[in-house]
Amino acid sequence: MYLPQLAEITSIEDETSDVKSFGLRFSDGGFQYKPGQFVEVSLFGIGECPICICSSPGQVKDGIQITVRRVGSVTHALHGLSVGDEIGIRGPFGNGFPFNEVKGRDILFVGGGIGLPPLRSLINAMLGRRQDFGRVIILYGARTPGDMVYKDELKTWAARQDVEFMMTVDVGDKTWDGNVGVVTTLFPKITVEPPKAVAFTCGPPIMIRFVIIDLLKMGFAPGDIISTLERYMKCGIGKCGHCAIGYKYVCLDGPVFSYEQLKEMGEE
Amino acid sequence: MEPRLLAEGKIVPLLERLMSEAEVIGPKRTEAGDVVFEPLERPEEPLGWHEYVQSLLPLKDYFFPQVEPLFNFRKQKGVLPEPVYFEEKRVFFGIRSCDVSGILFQDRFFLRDYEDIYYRKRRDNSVLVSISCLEPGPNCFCVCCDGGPSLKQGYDIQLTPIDNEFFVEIGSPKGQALIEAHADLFAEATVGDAERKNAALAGMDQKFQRSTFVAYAMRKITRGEVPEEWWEELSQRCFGIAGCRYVCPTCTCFHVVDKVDGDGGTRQRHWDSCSLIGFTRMVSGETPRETPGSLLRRWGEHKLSFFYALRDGRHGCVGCGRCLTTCLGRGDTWNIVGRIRELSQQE
Repeated sequence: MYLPQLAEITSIEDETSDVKSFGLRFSDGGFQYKPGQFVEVSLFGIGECPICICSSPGQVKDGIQITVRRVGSVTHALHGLSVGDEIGIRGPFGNGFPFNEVKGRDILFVGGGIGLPPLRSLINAMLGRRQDFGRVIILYGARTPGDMVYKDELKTWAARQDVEFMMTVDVGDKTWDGNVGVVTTLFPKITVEPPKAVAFTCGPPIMIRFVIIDLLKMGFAPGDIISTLERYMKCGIGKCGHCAIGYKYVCLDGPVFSYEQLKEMGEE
Repeated sequence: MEPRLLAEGKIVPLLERLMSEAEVIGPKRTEAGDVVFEPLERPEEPLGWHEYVQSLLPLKDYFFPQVEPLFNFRKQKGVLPEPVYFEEKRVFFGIRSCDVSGILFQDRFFLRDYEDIYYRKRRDNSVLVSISCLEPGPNCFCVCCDGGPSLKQGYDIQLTPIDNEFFVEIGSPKGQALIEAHADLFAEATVGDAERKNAALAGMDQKFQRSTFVAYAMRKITRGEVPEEWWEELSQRCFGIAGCRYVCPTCTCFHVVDKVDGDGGTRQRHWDSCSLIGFTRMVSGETPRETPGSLLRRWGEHKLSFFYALRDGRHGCVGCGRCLTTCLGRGDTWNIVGRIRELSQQE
């Protein structure tokens, strides 16, 4: 369980100046997973770090895709690798997002910056079963146009008739003629009926805080606001102790929690 | 499994035989005067049951070592990492009830959900022979924590001194196998011997110099009725050195590092501690538990919250008192429990 399986890098895409997406293929066929689960990415001689899976189940044959910002020692080393190189993967870990539980309801996604990848796994899984869900609304904000990930995919979401998609940036540039302002400035532009809708949000902690405040004002019940937490963690299996909050382990009991649970845990 | 009797004079022959079959760990006194559990070199070596109460350190290092290799790797494509398992047979002789209670706690932790194979192998290859305490040490309060001084279950073999003999109780198939393999050294025990054992332990709970009431602190902590400021104030006594965690038989947190050697290396885990300021620091620089009070509160919650007791099968203190012996600032579990009681009396 501390032993990683080997995975080959099959594709690398530059998302922003410090974010890359890596396609990974397992030599032994890989594993089943749910959107919202994560893996421990292992570079022998450097270490491990938890990264969410950003592809939806079945999207990558015998493998997964991860989107990684270059920020610590493992991610720095990972960014230096090429297609054909091999890394270690352990997982999948964590509970994942509710899926069957929210069938038939309207779905609101609110993503910020590098917080979109975990949501993207769920978005594509839901779009793959589009008829099972009500309206799908995706709001995405980034600091600048250059900080947006999945730029091509954003266009396909924007082009779909059955998806309501809007994006915004905190600071625009010459190329940008869209919305300017934090992601919550998009809320007045949409109409949602909270009892029918459930909201999924992921992004920087400060963004999530303000998004939750506004969602509550819009009438969302705390149990219908769903987010995913980030914590320092070593093992991913509830042993190393680093990710514990109160009596919950983010790696085992999370990383997906509703705002109702977060309040109980004292994580407001 | 019927109890037996073992004459004191049969201990050395028993250890001699066990040492030919396995590594035998027993109590010794160092030159500095500390009691430690270490591999025996001679069967006459271990301290007699009345010559020590408690070892300086708990036994967790033998089951969850301070530094433990997980696997060896090579930085070469297609080369799978190779796990490093410890599979030597060991007999732990003369350990105390609180030591067994600590190991049982770790069993429940390491063997649930995702079973820890490294712990499993060390545990399966060990036999626990404990000795009931007839005299508590100055900082012992196991009697208040259901950690000792004598056990109802959990040991493989439990010895209780009666006159010049030991009353021998068998608690598991492993203990049974050990006794059967050396049956000639043991004698049948009678109902009268069982009564002598009960008489030896009678009044033991009155001998403790310390007693406390853990359930009260558990209730206050679980309900969130211990204010943040209280933890911050108490944390002024904490030096943040993690001494209490290192001597605690129920602490299990660890860190993982890669030790590189040429084009290969070893991934290993090291003890870590929630009292260290960087324990929750993320690469972004954000540290969810940053203040000394929040670090101490984490320790209190983990040891004493009912939620953890539900998860771990018992609260996280076996009453060995080692944190009390170690902590210079009196911010240990004993003092946390006591001070929470004082807090409530002020209300």
